[in-house]
Amino acid sequence: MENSLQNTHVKLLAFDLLSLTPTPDPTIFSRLGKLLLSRVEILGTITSRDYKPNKFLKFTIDDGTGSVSCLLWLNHLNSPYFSRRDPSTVRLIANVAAGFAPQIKVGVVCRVRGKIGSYRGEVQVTVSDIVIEKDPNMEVLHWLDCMRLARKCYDVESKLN
Amino acid sequence: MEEKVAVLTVAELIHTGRPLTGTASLHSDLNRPVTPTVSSNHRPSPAPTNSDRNPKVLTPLNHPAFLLGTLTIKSSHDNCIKFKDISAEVCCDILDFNVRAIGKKIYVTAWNFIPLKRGNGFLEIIKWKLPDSSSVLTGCSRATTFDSFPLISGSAFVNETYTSKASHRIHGAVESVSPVSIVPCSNPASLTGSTNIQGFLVRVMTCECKLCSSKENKTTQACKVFTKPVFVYFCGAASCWHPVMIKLSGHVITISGLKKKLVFIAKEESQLMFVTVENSVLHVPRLSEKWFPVSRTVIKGKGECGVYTGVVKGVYMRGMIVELDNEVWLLLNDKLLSVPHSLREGAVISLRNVHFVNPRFPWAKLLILGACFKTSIIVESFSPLEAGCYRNVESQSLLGKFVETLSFSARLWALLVVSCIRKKFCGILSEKEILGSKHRKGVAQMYASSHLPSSVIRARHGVFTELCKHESCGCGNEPYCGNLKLVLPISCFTYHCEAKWIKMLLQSDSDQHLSCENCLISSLSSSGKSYSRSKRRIFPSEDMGIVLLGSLKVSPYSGRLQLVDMTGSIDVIVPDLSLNWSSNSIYEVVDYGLIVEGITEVLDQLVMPGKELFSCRSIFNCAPAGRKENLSFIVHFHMSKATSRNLPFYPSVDRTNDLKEFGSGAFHLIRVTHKFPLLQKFQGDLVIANRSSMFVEAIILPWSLALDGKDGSKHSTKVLKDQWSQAMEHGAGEYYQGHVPGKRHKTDYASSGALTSSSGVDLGDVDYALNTCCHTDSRKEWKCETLNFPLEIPCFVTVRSISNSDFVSSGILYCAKSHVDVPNLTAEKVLLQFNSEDSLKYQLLQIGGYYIIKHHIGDPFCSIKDSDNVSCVKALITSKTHIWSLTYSSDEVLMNNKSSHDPSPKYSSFSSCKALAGDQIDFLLQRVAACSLGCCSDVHLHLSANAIDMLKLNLKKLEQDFIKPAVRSEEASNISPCSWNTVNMSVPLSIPTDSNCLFPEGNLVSLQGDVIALHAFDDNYDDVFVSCEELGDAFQLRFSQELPSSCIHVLVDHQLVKVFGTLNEHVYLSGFGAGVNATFHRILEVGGSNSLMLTSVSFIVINSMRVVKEPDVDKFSELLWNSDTCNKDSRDSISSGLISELAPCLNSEPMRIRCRVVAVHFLVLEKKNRLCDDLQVKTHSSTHLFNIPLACFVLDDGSSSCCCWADAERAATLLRLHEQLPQSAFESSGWTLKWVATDNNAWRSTVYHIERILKKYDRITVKNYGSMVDSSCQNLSVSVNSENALSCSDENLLKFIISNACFGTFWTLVASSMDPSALRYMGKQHLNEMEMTMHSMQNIWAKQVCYTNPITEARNVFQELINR
Repeated sequence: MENSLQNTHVKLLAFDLLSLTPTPDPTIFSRLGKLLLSRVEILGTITSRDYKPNKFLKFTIDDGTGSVSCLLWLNHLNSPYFSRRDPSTVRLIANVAAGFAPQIKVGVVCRVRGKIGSYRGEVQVTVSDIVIEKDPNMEVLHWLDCMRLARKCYDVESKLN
Repeated sequence: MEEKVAVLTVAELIHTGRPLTGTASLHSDLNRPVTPTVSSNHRPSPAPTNSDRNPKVLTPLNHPAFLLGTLTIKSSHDNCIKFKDISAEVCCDILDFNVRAIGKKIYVTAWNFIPLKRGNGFLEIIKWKLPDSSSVLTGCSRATTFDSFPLISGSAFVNETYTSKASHRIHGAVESVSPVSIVPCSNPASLTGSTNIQGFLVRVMTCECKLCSSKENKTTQACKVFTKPVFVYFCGAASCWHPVMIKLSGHVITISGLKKKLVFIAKEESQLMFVTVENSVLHVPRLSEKWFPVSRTVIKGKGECGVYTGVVKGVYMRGMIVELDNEVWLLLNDKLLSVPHSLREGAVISLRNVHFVNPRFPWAKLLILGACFKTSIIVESFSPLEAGCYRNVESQSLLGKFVETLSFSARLWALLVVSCIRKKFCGILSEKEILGSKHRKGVAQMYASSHLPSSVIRARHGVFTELCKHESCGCGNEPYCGNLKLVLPISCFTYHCEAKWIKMLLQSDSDQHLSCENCLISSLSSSGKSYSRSKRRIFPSEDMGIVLLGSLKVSPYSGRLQLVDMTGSIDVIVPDLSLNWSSNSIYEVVDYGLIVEGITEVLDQLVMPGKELFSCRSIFNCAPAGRKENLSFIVHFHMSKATSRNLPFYPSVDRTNDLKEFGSGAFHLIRVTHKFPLLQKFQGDLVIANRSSMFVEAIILPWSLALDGKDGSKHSTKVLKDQWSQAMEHGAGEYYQGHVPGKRHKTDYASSGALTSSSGVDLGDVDYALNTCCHTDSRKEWKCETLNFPLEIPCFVTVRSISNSDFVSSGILYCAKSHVDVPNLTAEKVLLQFNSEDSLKYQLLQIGGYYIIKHHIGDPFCSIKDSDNVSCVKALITSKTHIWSLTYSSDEVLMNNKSSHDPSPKYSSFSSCKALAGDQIDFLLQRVAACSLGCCSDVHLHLSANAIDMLKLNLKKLEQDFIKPAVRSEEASNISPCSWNTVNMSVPLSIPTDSNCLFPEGNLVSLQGDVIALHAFDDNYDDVFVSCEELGDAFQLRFSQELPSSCIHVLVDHQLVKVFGTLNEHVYLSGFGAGVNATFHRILEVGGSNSLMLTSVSFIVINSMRVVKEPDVDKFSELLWNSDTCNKDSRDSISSGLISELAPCLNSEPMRIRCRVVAVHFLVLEKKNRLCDDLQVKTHSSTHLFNIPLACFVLDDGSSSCCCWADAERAATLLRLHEQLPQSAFESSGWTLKWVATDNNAWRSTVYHIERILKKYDRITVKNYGSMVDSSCQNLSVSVNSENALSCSDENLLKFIISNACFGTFWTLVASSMDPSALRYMGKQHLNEMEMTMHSMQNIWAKQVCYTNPITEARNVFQELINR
């Protein structure tokens, strides 16, 4: 039986994230075949940016171990996916996302939380929120956190099973 | 109705002499009780004045009536439109003004009439009509859309066909109108040679298009893009159009027949402008067009120009200051400004081109509207009140001119200062002395100008320059004045303090409950109830922003020292007050601490004062502010930091007597060893007389001071070099001799003889003293082996006097006990008795201080010396006894100063110096002046270094012999678990250690420390007070009503000590409480546990006061925690971990986790309004007006997520309320920025918006019905507990704020697992009927939340990783 950390934003280095394997459920990914994950937190430098106004913003985050493709949706106001939700909430979400877009610039260090997905066979993160980190020490702390969590938590969870 | 309407004449109105309102269509209320008739000859009521603060509504005329008259304009001093009928003429103002009415007969159908002191009166025309509209409308105009008016009446109307080369036409909108000014002008054409031209400037914004600038254009223009400013000078007879042009400001007009001229606006500056000439014509469109400037500047409160409309709430200072709405202050003190008569209290006025200034004073939140020469005031609606008219009287006083040169903030400040100083000294000084005159500065101006920086002073250039070069004249660029401190009348000050105190208490309400969690209160209050539920706050002067000004007086009722002015008094504590302070001096105290103390029972009845703590209105109004009697205010300051401002109006105080008293003679040296508290009279006690006396224990030192008398004037003392140096040499010589063994020492008084003879002043006393005390000198011989010091020590004496006439004198310190062997010199104990009338002297003597008392023949100090048998004698100190405080030091500095031209290494200033040069005297005086900043002794002795060593040695020996310190018994210090080491013990008495004694046993000790808390005891003080039962029994014998009633927690060298006792008998202990540093003299050690007891001889001295800041409280709480619960882990030892590692057990240790907020589960925000009941320990400087009783966040650290519950400040931090909101918040919420009288960036802070929203809704609950694990999928629902429905923009902003909390970076939390029962309880309390499903996540309670320092964290994690 696989253990699950689906409700947690696991902190993974890019190489680790890119090595996740999909499961039959497109929202769930498996780490080393033993730990089920859905959400992730990554941190790195933005290396590319592809902006489609009112549609999406696609960008790449490089943390030194790999590059992860991220997608920030900007189509909340005209997407049928949100049509059933409270319009004011949708507006809020849309505004928040629109607020994120100009912050995403090539070269900045960015912390991204989001859902793990895949696009054309590649792991891709659907962005929930971003934080631009101005302190360079945050990058080091993230690496160390990833290592500590892998050691103390994710690997253990995997081993238990 | 029509036939009933009477026609009133102006003369009839003037004749009544009282304010009236009337209308031609009075339909109802004909049977009003108040039925004044115009014709009735009733007593004219006094004209409304400024003092009438509650003006009545205007009396209505009891029958319908109208006025029929003509509106005229003519040049006059007040630039008013006139209303003239067959009987008389009055000034008037009109609503719905139309230029067409000028010169026409009109019916005035609704009006107010206000009689004026000067002049006939003033008519406010509310409704009017032209008798026959059709006949006038086309009066002088050919075009149907325009009315044309020749600017100079009588001149022939020039039709449109008239064109000349010199004639210009402008079309545009009136932007601003200057006041009327008079230009002295030399006119060669005139017979007199010179003439004065009266006129005013109008700045018109015109169109730059070709059509408009062509001369042949017609008046029917459609251009509305007015961008080019031009100036039109209405001069000569056209200046009577001023009131009309003011009314037309903002309207589109055309003026034709203008002449273009280069006009000098300053000496070397000219401006091209249009000048009205004889045939100039004003064209006004019949359908009036309003014009608004295209670029509307954002008003930030830095002097930008804008438009303001508001209701006049009050007019103060002869019309110089107008209050609009709430704390919006219009400054109108430019004498040239034309203020309409109708600007009365209650009127609605509109101000164009007024400067918006937010002065950012720390003492008040207000908005200043500064009027400049561009400003025009238009009354939009007349006041229905009987308030009088104000006219800014053209004042030529220096004060008026001074105020005009100031920037707007400084101007308001200066006017407040003037108003305050008038009130403070109204009985002492005449108005003229305070306000000054044409040629002389008044006190108010002197005070204000001494406090204002030069940056606030603006050069004034006159009307022309300031209008034409408005941008460069500086009134649109306000310098920062936020550091100006206000001087308040003391009555206003106390009112202000009271409001501040209440506000602070109400704000800190919920924080009280929080601090309970820290076990601070619980550990302190476990031993009893808080001290009489007293609420105490200490405010530092920086927080107040207010300067105190007044003189010092002793209250005849309480005997306490007070700072007083004409409005009131406030108790003061001045630890370093000179014994010879002057009650005539006026002191300015800038640096002080204010203690406000009151009883909570009283607090419960108090209501929160208005939003604004401080109102300028109260100063201008001088409304006697009601004060709660149960509140006590004490100001604590050091005289060394106060400035003596002997403002020149005070009759110069004759201080020469005082100095004469000091001037010459002999003085006894005493040292105060103890002060006894004011004795309580016990029943049946005959020992203490009815008259209350106070006692001070002192020792008379075996040294006396003989002083060379001088006349006491500053720098008068030219110390006679020969005699002085002889004396010095002699003294030093003796000293050397004294150190040579076997040499015989002989006292030679030649030196002192020389000294006295040289002084030229009658030194009878000195001679007598010297002779009586040292009459046996000639036969005095002793072996020098035992002599370690000379019999006399020459010295310099500097005397500090209040009137700043410090002086230097020479003196001799000599041994008074000549007939006793010197090595056995002993001091005598003396009990100084003070009667109640001299209580201040008693209060000012300080334990451990040295004092000198003037020797008089037969004074008790001499008799003590003569009678060796008496060990302690009582000496009565009367008001005639002069006491001066004394300090001494070596004059190394003096020597160093001298050494440049004196190479001899030691004693140079004494031995080889032939003269005490003038610069040395100066130097000594400078030292005194410098000294007075730190210490404050009246008399300072400058001794040679060796002499001082000797003196110190001797004094030390005396103290060892006489003031024996009690030594703590070994057992006692062993018993005590936390013994304090450095208690300053100076105990002359020790309680007999007889075990049968009924009194508690122990040593009397002195200790100094910070008072942390104060508690009152009920009758059960069993568990805390170790030996209390025994003590109580002992006390019941005599002190039956005097059981120890309070417990004082004192922090001595990081150790907590409890002092028990009654504080009631300490009459002069004002200001004592938490936050003071105090010395407890002669308190009884009653055994272990660091418990001490106040006895009837104990005396408490307050050394300093400070505000207990939050970190200190934390420190104390930690300390109390440690001391009470022994060996608890300190916060540093809290281990860090992951959420997944949090143990779900109940009593788990707190853990430090680093995580981020993913979602907000639940949140309650409420407005603060409850009162606090518990003892106040925390003082929050940055308290908010809201509280967060409970909030639940979903946190995630990568290992797992959990529900984190938090409240108050912790919840606020997690919500990122202290951070700024991004701009997108406002875009998404639809919230628009309005001008607010607060800091510039305040509106960007999240706290500001939460406070703003909660003002409308008492309580707001937010619940998340959406995702708990995805910040972008939350579904927030906001509900309010108020009648007001939540507005859409507020709801959106709240939702944004909550979402924004999830987009932050790391937090470091100290948290522990929560008990499920506590969780259930909280759920019941806050989550009605458990509507929200409790998540299966781990629940934790946040104890501490702070930002993460990434580098520290990274190091820790790295360490953890490599250690594995």
